[in-house]
Parts: sequence; structure tokens; C-alpha cells
Amino acid sequence: MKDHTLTRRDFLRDLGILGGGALMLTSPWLSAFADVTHTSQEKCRVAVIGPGSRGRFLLNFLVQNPKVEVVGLCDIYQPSLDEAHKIAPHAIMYKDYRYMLERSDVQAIVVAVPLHMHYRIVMDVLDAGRDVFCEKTIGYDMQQTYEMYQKHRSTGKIFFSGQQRLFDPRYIQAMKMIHDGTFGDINAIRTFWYRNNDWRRPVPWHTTEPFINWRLYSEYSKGLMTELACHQLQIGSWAMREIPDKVNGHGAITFWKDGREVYDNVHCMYLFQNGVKMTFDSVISNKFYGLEEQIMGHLGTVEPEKGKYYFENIDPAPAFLQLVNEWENKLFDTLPFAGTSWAPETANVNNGHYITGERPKTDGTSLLLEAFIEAVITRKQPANIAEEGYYASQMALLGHEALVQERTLTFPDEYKLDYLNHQSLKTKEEQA
Amino acid sequence: MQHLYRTSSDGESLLYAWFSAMHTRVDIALIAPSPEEQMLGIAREIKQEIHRLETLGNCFDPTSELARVNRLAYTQPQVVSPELYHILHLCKEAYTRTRGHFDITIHSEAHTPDTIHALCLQAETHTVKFEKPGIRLNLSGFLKGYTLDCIRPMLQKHAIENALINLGNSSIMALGNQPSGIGWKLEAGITLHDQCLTTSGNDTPERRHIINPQTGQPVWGKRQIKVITSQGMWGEICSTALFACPDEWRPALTETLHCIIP
Repeated sequence: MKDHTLTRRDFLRDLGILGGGALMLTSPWLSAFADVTHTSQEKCRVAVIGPGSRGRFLLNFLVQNPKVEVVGLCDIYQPSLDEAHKIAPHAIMYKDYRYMLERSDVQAIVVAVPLHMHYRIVMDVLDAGRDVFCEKTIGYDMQQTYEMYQKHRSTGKIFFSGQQRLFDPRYIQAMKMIHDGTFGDINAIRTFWYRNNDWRRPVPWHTTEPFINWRLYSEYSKGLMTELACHQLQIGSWAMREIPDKVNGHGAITFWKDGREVYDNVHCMYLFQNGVKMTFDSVISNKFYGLEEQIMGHLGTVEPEKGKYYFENIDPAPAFLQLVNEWENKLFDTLPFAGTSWAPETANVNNGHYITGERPKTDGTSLLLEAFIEAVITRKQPANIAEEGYYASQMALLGHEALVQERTLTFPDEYKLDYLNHQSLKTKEEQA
Repeated sequence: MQHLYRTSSDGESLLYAWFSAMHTRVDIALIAPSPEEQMLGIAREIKQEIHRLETLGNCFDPTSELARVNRLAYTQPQVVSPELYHILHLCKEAYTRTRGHFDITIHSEAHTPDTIHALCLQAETHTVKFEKPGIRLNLSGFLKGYTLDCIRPMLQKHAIENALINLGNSSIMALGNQPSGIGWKLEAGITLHDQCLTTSGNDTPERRHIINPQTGQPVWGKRQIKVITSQGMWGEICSTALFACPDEWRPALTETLHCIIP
């Protein structure tokens, strides 16, 4: 446990949260860790609804957090419940989450059920006065997502969604560099997620195909848009500090013609007000290019998944860059760069630089969950985190709708919040 | 020119600007309690100064003053600017002080240790004359250090007390102090305070670009010499000479040249 604490402390120090917090402007939700040293004796009682594969992935992080006591597990699928109980053996198991909500000692709920069940469960949890961590995408459609967000606002309960990139050191540092203008004006964002598998799981004899492979059926999921795009589209609004206005695209089933109802081949183009475009591509019959978000400025490019950035022309010297990055904390030590003459012909392979100075180690999920627990304990909803999750979900859902309708759709006014370039209808009316 | 600018709560700001010039990279770090535009203006002035000196002394640029001298000074004495004249005079002096191990005529046709004497300078008229054909002056081992010496008064004029200027990693000038420290720590054991660090050497076994003027042979081996000096141009002269000279000459030459080997 000591190592875990040290790692987190190192992370917070490296991000400047313990020593000034320069990154807060770029990622204000990091304020979740502002009181981290004062909450070390606190214990937060958490339950997990839907401990399937993703739910157990989250559960594994929760049980490692000394501030968490997992007190409840709920699933209608017994094998998932049994597996989860091995991870959290002291938790009480439930088949119906409503019984679990009757317990007064459960403070916060992690919801990792299939998409079509998010709405009912999250609304009930918030009505029951509990804080919620809801896996992305938040709602099955834009109306549900809007109502869930408004429920969070009206109840005042803590609300996080599973956008782990918000706590990934690579993305946090990269966004700071983008916002500082290091890569110039951002004119294009290309996101893609390629896989080569059918996305199916084996179906045990005692259950049904849609129950296990719910991601493939439109009654339960919106496929690639809600499962994958939701993560990547959020990068656009984070980098641009703006919500795109419009989206169009095309979706089809081109390879996995196995009875599935959701597309296995999608392309969406999101348009920002100033003409900058963000694309999302996903094909699940070729994995060569993997996944990435390529953020392209006129001076350089960032690939946060790889954890790297590249300059168009001459790179900044890493030692000087270190000086710049450590300026705020004044942790500066040596500048190891002196040597024989640097010549362009010896530096003409642009291998880029690691954003955090090293290969990526974590994807942010553990820190996202830790931030949620800190927020539950301190009763402080970190700035912007619900809104970032909200718009990531809405952009994915709007994109899906554009694919279905095969036309360009504009972000509907009725789902706008007072956030970034958006104004809610209520605010607009007040101004009128 | 690209740049990054940071402020801190103590009122100090850091500007880092980088670009390519002199066939290498240039890094400028300035620390001062000044706004971004002001510090960027100073960095731009430095860039212009580097460009000016390239136009003066880059022998590979056919439009430079030095290239004109190389083309025409055998057929007709060439009147040169006071600055180029001063540089050539210094370099001739350096040849003597380094016992012939710093030689700007090294790339001339049929070079011998006496070739430098065919470079005639007339102080009264600021003219340069080659008394032999095929002479080619090359200031590559001098110009970066000289550039650092030209940048220093510019920084003083703008009251920049803490700065680090890097010309291609091999010619570095450090003024004042790094953030939260005394002097600038460049690597283990090397701290500069109002000094220059110059490196000459071969970064790979294959690279043999420095020639011993006394033998006409390239210096072999992956090794390097670093020197600390108060003047950048003197650093270039010392590091080149100490790298080119035979090992047994090095201690005596180091003493004569008054440089520090870290």
C-alpha cells in the first residue's frame, strides 16, 4: 500500500497539484485531489452495480484504495457476481439494486451495466441520495443523458462518468502544452480506433445472446459510437475548449455480417465553429493502426495514446523543455545537453518526444476512481468533470444519429448547457 | 522562431525560444520580470544578430562577405568591413598562440602549416589579400563563439542578468543563475556562471571533421574536449586547438591558453 501512496503522491507532485497547480487551468477537475492529504483517515463505502468485465476492472482499483470499503455488489448475472465477490469478499451480494439502495450505509455507487440500463439505475441512485460514477456513455440517447445530468444538478450529488483520459498524465500534460500554444493553432483532430475481432463473447448455455453480447444489438447499445468514440470525442472539446457545432458521417456493416445490428465500420466528421474538423474512424476488421487521437497544430502534432509529440520543424531541446516544465515548481536541477555540434542531418528522423518524459504507464482509470472517492468524501464536485462527460456522451450520441439519418446534424439547442461555447436555452431566454 | 513563455508567482518569467541557424540549432532561455512581448522582442533581436553574423562569416553562403573574400582576394585585394577585418586579425593571432593548431585556412587547396602566412591583412585600408591561389578561409570553428560574445552586450543592454544561450550544444553561454540555484548546472561537475562552455570533438568514430593543421590529417576517434572560458570565441579557439594537437602538447597548451578544462 505504501507504493500505491507514493505513486499517487508522485503523480500529484509531478502535475503540480501539491505545489501550485499550473495544470488546474487546463484540467480543473484535478481539484478533486486538493484535499487529498486531509482525507487519509476517511473511509468511503461503495457498491458496484454491474460487476461484469468492465465493472470488475473498476472493482480491482477500488479494493486497492485504502479509503474505500466495497460493501455491496449487484448483478442479475450470477457468474459475474461470483467473480466480483472473489475480489471484494466482504461485500454483500444483491440481485436487485433497489434492495441495495435501501441500505443507509452505502455512500456511492459505481454503475457499469449495459448502456440501455444506465438511465433507470442512475436516476434511482441519485433520487436515493447517493453519489454516482457511471460508465460511459452516460445515457442511451440525448434526452436520457440530459435528464441524468439535470438530476445530478438538482440533487447536488457527485456525478462522474468513465472518461479516464481526463486523469491520464499523458493527456493532462499534452492539453497543457496545447493550451499554452506549444503546437500552434490546432486545425485538425483525427481520432481512430481500429480492432480486428468480432467483439463477441462466448454465450453460456443458460443465457441468451443479446444478454451477453449486448454491445452488438441496437436495443441495448449504439455500438462503436457509444463504446469507443465517446472516449475520443472528448479529446476534441478538451483540446479546442469548444463543442463542435455539427456532425455528419456514414456507418455500415461491411465485414461482420453475423446478425449484429450495430455498425462495424463508421466514419464521423465533427465541425467546429471556426471550420476545424475532428474525425472519428472505427473499423473492427483491421487493427494495423490501432487507436490514436492525432491533434494537429501548425507547429506540431500530439499523439497522446502513444504519449508523444512531434514538431513540424526543429524540436525544442528536451533539456530546455524540462526547464520550462519545471519552472512553476522550481524543481530545476541540471541541463544535460552540452556536446559536439548538433547538425540537422543527424536529427532528421522525427521520432518525437514522450509527453511525460517516459513511456506511458497508466490510462488514468485508477486516478479517475480515486478522484471520485475524494469527491464523495469531501462533498465537492470537481469543476467541469460532469460537463466533460456529458458532452462526450452527447457528441457520440449525436454522431450515431447522424450515421442513422445519413445527414448533417446540428447540436440541438435543448441539450446545450452553460459550458464553453454553449449557452443553455434557459440562459438564452433570460438574456432575451 | 518558436517559443514558450512561463510566469511564476515570484514575478519572474521564463522565455524559451528555439530556431535553426548557422547550420545548427539555437536555444535561448531568458529569465526576467518582463512581459512576453518584451522578452520575445529580445529573442528576435538575438536571432537577427545571428543572421547578421552568418551573412558576414558563413563561407558556405555564396552571398556572405567571407565568401566574396574567398572568391576574389587572390586576384584583387578586398576591402572588408571593420568587423570581418577584426575577426580575421584575431584568427591570425590565434594561430600563433595555439602554435598552429587553430588555422582558418585549413580547408585551402594544398594546405601546409605555412598557408596562413599567405593571408595578408592591411590595417590602414582594411583590405585582405591572398598571396597564393586556392586559399579558402573557414570560420566554422570560430563564428559560434564570436556570436555568443556579440549576444552578451545585447542582453546587458536589456538588463537580462540570467540567461542561457545554446548554439548547437557545442557553444554555450550562461549568464547569472538558473532558477533556484547559483550559476547554471549543465551536467555533472560543470556549473557555469557568466562563462562559456565550448566542446570540440567527434561524436562518432566515423566523424573526423577536425584536421590537425600541422599534419594535415583528420583527428581520429570518438572523443571530445570541453573548455570553459569567459569569452565564447576564445572557447572555440582553445577547444579546437586542444582537440587537434597531439596529446603530449595538451598540458602546456592549456596553460598557455588560460582556459579551464572541466
